[in-house]
Amino acid sequence: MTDDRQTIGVSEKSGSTLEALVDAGVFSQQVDAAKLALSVALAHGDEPVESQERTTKWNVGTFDQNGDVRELILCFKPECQTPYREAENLVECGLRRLAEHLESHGQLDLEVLLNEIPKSQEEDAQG
Amino acid sequence: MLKIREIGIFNFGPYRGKQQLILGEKDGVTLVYGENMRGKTTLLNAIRFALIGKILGRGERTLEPYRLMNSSAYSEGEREFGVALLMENDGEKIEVRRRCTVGEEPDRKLKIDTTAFVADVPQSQAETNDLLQQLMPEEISRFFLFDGELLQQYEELLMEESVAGEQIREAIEQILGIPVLLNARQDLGEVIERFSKAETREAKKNQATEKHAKNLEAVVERVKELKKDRDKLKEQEQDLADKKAAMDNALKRSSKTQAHMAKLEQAEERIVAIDAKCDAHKEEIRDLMKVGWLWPAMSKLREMESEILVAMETEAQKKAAANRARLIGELAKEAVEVGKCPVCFQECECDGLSLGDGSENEDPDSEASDRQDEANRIRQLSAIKRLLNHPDSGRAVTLMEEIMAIVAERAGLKQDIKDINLQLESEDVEELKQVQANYGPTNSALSECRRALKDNNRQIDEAQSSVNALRKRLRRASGSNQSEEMKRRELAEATRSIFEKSIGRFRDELRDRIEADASALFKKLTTEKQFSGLRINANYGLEIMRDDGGVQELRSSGAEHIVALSLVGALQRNSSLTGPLFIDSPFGRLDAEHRKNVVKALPGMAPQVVLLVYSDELDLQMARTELGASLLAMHRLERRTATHTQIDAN
Amino acid sequence: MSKSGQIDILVIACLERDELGLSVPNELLAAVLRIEEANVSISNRSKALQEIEAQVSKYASEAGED
Repeated sequence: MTDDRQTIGVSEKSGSTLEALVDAGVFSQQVDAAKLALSVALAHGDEPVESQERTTKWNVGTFDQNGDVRELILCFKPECQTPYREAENLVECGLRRLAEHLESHGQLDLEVLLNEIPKSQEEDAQG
Repeated sequence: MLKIREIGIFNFGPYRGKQQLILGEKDGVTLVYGENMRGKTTLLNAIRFALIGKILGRGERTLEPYRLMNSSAYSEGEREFGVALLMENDGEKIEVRRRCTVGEEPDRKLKIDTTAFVADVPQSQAETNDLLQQLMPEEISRFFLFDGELLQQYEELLMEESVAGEQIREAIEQILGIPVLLNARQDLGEVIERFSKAETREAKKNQATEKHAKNLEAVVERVKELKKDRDKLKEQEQDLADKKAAMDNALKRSSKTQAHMAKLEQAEERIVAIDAKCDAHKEEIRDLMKVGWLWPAMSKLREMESEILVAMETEAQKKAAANRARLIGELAKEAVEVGKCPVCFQECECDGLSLGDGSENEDPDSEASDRQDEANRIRQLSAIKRLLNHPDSGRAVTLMEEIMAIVAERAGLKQDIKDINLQLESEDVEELKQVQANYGPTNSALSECRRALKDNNRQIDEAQSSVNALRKRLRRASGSNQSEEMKRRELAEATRSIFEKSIGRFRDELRDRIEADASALFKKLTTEKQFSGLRINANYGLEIMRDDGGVQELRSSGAEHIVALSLVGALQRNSSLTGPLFIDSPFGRLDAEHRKNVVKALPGMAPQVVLLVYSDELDLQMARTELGASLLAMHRLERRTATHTQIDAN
Repeated sequence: MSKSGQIDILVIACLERDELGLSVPNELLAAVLRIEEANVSISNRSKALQEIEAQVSKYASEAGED
């Protein structure tokens, strides 16, 4: 079995994005913002980004206290052997999206963010 | 009766150099006219300054006299200005001069020299002060120096509870001679006290009356002390009432500023409220976002859930079909072996029947794989259900929308606050704040003072009753040997009672007369046929009565003019103090017909009337026609420069 | 005060006297009135008080002689 990551880290730019998100007053902690980024990246089906200079932010126990993150990743990618590696990469992707969102909207507009999530083809056909 | 013969002014207001306005000796009307801002009101202020030593600005504010120095004279280095009045009072020649010297910048301290001559005899300072007080007491000057732009003070008379109304009432009563009675009451009270002391001293010498005299002395002393307290309280009350009246005026003048400040306070309070709401919303959102990170993935999770359920359903159906097939196979095998249908027990022909039991389709590996898939699906479904078991994003979205609305409202309020502060920069906010802060305590102190006065009066009454009772005993004890002192005291008391009672009756009679005279004058001045006259209230306020018996509630400012002029005319008729009537701009809002009526009525309002008007205010030809021989002269105020007006006779 | 004003007050004072049933001479009422009218704006009352005192004493002793 491949060794999974024990810590989650972010790039410098993503670290700034996390600070900005918490300063906006919507999150009590950066970990909540990071998990939202992960969820956004998953929903968009982003290809995770590997190999970047990353600074460790949390150990996986702190990041995923009740195992929901791991479960979510396995729901989307049942064959994934290293869900926390996947998680770290998804966090990075998601934070890039959120940085763009902040730049174009000036603040975190939850309604817009959720509306941007692509729907399934079936839903599109019905819609 | 007081008449002004000449007004001499130098370097006063726009009147550069020495100038004279000669009014002459005859009774009648003098017209002074000019364009706006030529100095008509300054003429009124010149007379006011000469007689009272004060000048009034807009809103009845007392202005510093140095402001009236002619500006071009001042800039040319001159430092003196002044006014002189040549008058006649009941045949006696009187001259009053006020000469002012303005000090240098920045203080511009003013030195005022006031001199008076009676029949060319110079008066001492004390005599001058007494003379001026007698000629034109400040409190009543508004009824002789009538400024058409200060009408609101006459409206105060209608409000029986108003402090300003009470002050004007006292001023009116002063013109009508009531102070004579009030002073008589007071002075006789003092005289009674003196006689009473003498009486008690005398009674103490006599054994028969000594005891009563001593008791009486003690109670009289108590009454004296109570009256001293009463005087102090009255002084305090007057002081507080004056302060309150000044504050009322200040508040009235600053109604705009108050409105701005109220708006400012409202905006600031609203910001505090919406900031608190915003903080609460953000707190709630932060709480929701602890699980809200799942929201973006939720619709996909729901899709997955659907797919799994469909797959499970399909699998279940497949299994059910397979089971059916196996069962039928088993039943067929049994039928072939037994030769009967195991279900209906009928004999059956089974030749050639294929006896598969369904087990040929069974693949143990595939079954194991299916079971694994089934287990995975169940596990996955369970995970998805657990992840979906969180509140959705609806509440968070709503909260964020509200926050955005709050941010927009806040920006608007901040702009409003900025605009209001800009407006308040030119207004005296600190002074107003001080007035507002002091108003409540002053009002409370006034109420408390009045309560104390009431209590004091009650105590005085009680003590006085004791005094009366003791006096009766003293009288009885004296028998037929009534002392001289007792006789004097009793006569003084009887006289005082008479004057005391006269006050009420005199007041009532005067009010009736003023009502009648004001009504008669009002009917001459008004053009409205439905008005039957005027009705007077306790403050000498006048209500307009209609011929249906009702009171005209809503009064235009034109009507206020007419009512005020009627009151002034009636007071002149009934006054104990008669003097010249100066009227400044009485026509402001009157139409042509009303103006004509006012002009016609002028000669009857006072023996000497001086009318100050601006050029467009009055048709001069109409005035000549209506006044006829009553018109003594017309004087034009001519502009030489912006700071120099010349009085020319036409 | 105008003469008519003085007369008005005197008439009213006499009416009150009669209604109250008090015995005060017309002349005393008129004298007090005259003194008060002459001193109406004067703040120092001592002169007026002395004169009124004198008048009351005069009429009190005249009444005693009657």
